[in-house]
Amino acid sequence: MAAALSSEHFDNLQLLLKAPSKDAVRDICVQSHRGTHRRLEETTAETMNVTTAQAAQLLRSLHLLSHHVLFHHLGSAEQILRLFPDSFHSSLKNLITKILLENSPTWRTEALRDQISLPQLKELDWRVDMVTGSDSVGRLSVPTCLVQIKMEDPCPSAGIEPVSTVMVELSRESVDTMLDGLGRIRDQLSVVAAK
Amino acid sequence: FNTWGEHYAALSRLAVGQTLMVNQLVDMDWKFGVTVGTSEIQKVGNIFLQLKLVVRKGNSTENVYMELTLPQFYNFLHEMERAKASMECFS
Repeated sequence: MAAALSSEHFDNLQLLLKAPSKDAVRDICVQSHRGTHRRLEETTAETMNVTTAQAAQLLRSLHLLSHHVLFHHLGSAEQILRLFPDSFHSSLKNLITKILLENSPTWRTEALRDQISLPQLKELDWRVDMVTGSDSVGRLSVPTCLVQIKMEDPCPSAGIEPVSTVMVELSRESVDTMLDGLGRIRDQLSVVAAK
Repeated sequence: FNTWGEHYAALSRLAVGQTLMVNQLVDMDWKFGVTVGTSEIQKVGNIFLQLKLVVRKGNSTENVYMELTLPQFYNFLHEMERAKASMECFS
């Protein structure tokens, strides 16, 4: 979620000057983007030789910054550099900007993939059977289609199985009707895509 | 005797129509649109398609809702065309 970036956040970011290496800075940036938690705060405090409270503030500010960049789709170095106050340490500013730019495409893809949605169609398998007899008709020769649809909820609630499977049976007429419907969707989609 | 001949075809169809079907697909509804933004990304522009399948389970029906991306939709369409072709081999 996008929240305002205040000067306090940038003060917290300057703590990164205590990082042992550029890779350490990169690591902290990438991990904080996902979200902060106790373990991360502790390991960051250890790496940077600061208190856990300071590490927590740093991680939170980094998280806000990376999500701000993601939300507003800031794609150039200039756009990101402009966010920093003039007094901010120049090399650190450039390093953070570089790290944010490097990771933006991945973060964007992940955000799109993880967005809320109805269960997504994952797999579709079908089988055509020949029904040769039933309790109402002794001898029969009618094709029927069985379709198995596997769906996955991209953001499942705790304790609920994200993958679900539905099996449906379609008569020949139903397959034709369904194809009619799907054809209409395809036509409607090409009208939208053309705009 | 002639009456039987006249109605045989219709009666057969009715009898076949009563043949057990498991989870019969009864209806399909859809809507599609464009996702314009999310809580994580201010501006997006992806087309989404939502399908509702109405499935008969015993005496009642169950609705199954799902979402498809465009590639998934085209794959769905392709597979159903192949299923239809397979069914047509048998008539």
